[in-house]
Amino acid sequence: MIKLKWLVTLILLVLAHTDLLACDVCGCTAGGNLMGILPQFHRNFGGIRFSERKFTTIHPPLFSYDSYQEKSVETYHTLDFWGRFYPISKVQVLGFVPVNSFSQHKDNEVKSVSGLGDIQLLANYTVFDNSDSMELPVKQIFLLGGGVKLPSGNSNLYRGDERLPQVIQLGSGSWDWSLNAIYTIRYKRLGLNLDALYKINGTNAQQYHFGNRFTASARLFYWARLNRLTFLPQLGVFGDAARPDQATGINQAESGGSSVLGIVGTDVYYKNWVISASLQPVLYQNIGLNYTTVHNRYMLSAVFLF
Amino acid sequence: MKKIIPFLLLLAAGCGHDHDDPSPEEVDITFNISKPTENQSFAFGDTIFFKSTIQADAELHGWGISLKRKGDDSLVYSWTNHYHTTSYDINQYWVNTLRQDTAVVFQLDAAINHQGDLKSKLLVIRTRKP
Repeated sequence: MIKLKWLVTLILLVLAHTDLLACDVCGCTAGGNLMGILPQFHRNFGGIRFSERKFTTIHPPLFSYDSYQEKSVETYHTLDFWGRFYPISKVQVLGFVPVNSFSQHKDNEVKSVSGLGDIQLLANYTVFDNSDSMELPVKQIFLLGGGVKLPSGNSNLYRGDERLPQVIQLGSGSWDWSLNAIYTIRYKRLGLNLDALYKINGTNAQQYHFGNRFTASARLFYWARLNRLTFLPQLGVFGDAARPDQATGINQAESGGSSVLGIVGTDVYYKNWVISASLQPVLYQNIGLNYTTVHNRYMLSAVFLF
Repeated sequence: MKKIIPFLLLLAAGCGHDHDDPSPEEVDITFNISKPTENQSFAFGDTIFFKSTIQADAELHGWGISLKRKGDDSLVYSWTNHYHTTSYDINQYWVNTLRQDTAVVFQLDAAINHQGDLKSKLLVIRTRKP
């Protein structure tokens, strides 16, 4: 069974107290990036992943003579080119190269951008792994790691003389760092996957700092075989909490918040291919002082194992 | 259970000391009104141009301009724009529909946050009978 000290380390990592020194009243681009249940822990893979996130934001009136509440809808489509390889035993490196297509619909006006987003690199160390054991009925694997997000996406896009809102810039413009932990336990065909990530965001050249973020998920999964296909249906919950953003050191009061989403999905294995689909319905939210509404999300992925 | 999970998530996200939201006095804003000018007079049917700039040392949430009769504070005209930046360049106009000799207050507002904190600059213009 996993050693107690490693479990304590995980808990401390997750609850670490950190002094924390766009996105105003808008949905936000700076989100955590959880792995989900990674296929075939011991193998390399490369593939693509597509996701959609959508937010609706109500901008409260600013002045006594304002006659309406502005409403905007931000839609974020991301196509990740992603992969994993093992440069040395017990160490896996993952890379994500996103191509973003973001849009903001506000009244009758549409602002949209597309292009390279912020590239992410992660490295995980296998702390414990008995999944190869033929004797033990309970298989476990535990990884700890960290990563970096590069400011490769443009974060200073303009339309004419007007700088586009931070929330639909292609990148955050900052170097960000993350710590993550992944634990999976399986008994015969039934398993549980736990995933946690803490993201420490930097400040960009426009003096904007997206609030640090903690995300975690728990998924139950089940292995099922049908002819030459293997299915991995999953059911779980995903939580996300972020501190308020800061612009020039000033808290943006209508940013930050927390949400809890369900996870319903499946992976399908066929030879060297893994196809995944998941839907994340919103169960609870309190984003941007409730000026922002998170919509259900979905994700599709296809990877090739080698 | 619904409320416990978000609380735990926020706890995990850190409870360090944050900067307090600034008071409006802490945000430095410079207003420059080119048009109209103080005590400028406009006849019924004249076009009144509003040409101004706003510069701030922090991101603002929007700007607004308004015209109100000085006597009863009734609103005659207004225009707003909500976008977040540190400077605005304002060019609007309005055709005078007032038929009285009256003093009208032109107010240029900059929104510091969504809680109603503003900074403003005012000047008085005059309308005259046709």
